[in-house]
Amino acid sequence: MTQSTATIPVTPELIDHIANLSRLALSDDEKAKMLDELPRILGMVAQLSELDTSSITSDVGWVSGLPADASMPLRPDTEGQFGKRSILDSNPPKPEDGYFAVPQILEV
Amino acid sequence: MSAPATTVAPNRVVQQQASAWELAQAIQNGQTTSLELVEDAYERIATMDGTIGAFLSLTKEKAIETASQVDADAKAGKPLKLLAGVPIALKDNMNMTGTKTTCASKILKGYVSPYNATVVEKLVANGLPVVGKTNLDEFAMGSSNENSAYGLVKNPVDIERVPGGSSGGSAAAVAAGMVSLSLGSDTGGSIRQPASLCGLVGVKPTYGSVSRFGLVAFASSLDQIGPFARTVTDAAALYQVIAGHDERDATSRADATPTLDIAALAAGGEDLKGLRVGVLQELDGISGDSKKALQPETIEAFHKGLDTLKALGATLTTVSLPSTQYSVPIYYILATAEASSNLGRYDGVRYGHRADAANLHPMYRATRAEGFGPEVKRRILLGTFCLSAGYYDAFYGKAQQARRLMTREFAETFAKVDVLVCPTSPCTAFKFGEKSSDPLAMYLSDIATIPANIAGVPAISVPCGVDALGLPIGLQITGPHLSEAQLFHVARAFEAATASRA
Repeated sequence: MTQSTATIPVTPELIDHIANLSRLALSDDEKAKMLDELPRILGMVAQLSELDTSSITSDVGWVSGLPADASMPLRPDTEGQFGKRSILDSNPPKPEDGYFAVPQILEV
Repeated sequence: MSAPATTVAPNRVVQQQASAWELAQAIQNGQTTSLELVEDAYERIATMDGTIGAFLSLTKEKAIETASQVDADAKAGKPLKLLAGVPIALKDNMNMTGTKTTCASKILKGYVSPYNATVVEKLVANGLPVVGKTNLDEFAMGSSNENSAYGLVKNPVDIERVPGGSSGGSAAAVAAGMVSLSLGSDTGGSIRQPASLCGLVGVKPTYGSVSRFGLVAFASSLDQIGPFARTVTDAAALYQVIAGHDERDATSRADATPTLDIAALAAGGEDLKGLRVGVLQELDGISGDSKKALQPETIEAFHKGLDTLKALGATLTTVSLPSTQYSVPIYYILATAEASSNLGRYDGVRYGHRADAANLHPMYRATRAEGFGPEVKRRILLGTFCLSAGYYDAFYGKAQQARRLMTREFAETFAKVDVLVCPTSPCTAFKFGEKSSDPLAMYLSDIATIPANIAGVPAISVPCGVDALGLPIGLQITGPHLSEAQLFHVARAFEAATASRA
């Protein structure tokens, strides 16, 4: 089911839904701001629907700035050392015995 | 070696300095040493950067290590590599072992790079001392550097104005004369627009020609690393140093290694006879919409620039790429969609900031709420929306089709002309706060630069005059994939012609 770009109702529920998908806690002020800004930004990007792209029929899954005939050889799939271990160990906010400690995942 | 001081306006904070090419030769000839240049750079940073704010951290120990090696080699009479010994600044979204990498975000506060980006390896291998890491818009999202979590960067040409963005610190460090070279990254114009606003040469290389291994990802199908310099020769030499295939970047091209003749570029004196220049109609300053979109003085300087190209022997034709009128919408769908995915990694688990919470999901949400600034949040939300069920086809799918269409228009255009020209930025440097409250106004700053990222083609911004306030205006020259040699040739001829006229 595809929504037309011109008729998207930007509701508080939509903002909550996107914020949840984004794993972002928004304050009430931020939500109010997004309610004001998102319709304007979507209005700008929705101008794209005016552009006739009917001549593009091939699969457009992932498109990059590389021409189709560019050669991008892959490296051999071998094991290797990544980065400086002492720094890697010092970066996590809660290191524990060489692991990353995380808060509880399941509610018990 | 340095140019005579010009009349200094009250808001101007610029020191004249020799070009990187001249400095490298002076080191090789024993007229100076790399260590001396590094010390000079730190002296200028100490004097000027309190006002400008270009640097987020300095990497003195590493710079001295690299410089000492170059000086030892020079003393031993060894031939030095290209640009060896010339101090350089690095945008703080590139990793360098043992240094802080913040991306100007609170979420990466305290993060230390455990490895070197490929470009850093190349700089060090060539003997360029990295003096420090420069300020940027948070995660390279912005066009004014006002989105940094660690303070504003001021435009050295007029410190009441923005340097452009997102590579504002890299641009300001070179424009002020603290260093003669820096690296930035360009996803929608983040090298070329600040180069234009600060009166520099800035290059967005061909997609796949410079490795992004170690560059913090924003929008992976668009991001490229590229040089800032005060001369075309310096920019070309730095491109020669950093370009080339890298097996650690899956989008790196096998045929990316350039073979530029830097000495010939430096000598100059060439004309542009036989060059076919296409003038992009959508931004020519004549047609109705483009007349409204561009500052009148920008149009005037651009048209003078066209006269210069003609006087050099180029033939001019107007060409139209209709899809470029939709660059901004295409970009703000694709770039935000990719960013929403790329920035998923900042979850408070492996590095950076973590908020206190009893459970995992509230920890994620609070960490990201506390760590990201407003523009980054805005783009994550927009990108997530564009990829969400029910909206994906109308937004992301449509933008991908439009991208294909624009790429095809570029290919068809480059069958008819060798290069394409337009103004780099619709306006000159604006004042702090002038656009920061309206995201849509800010997004239009990249209207002329985005198409090259979408099509993956290279583009260079070169100074082409000033407005009534003395603020720089840039000319953008775009070419087909891997046409950097030609772009540097055209830009160098243009630079020489405009310098002799001034």
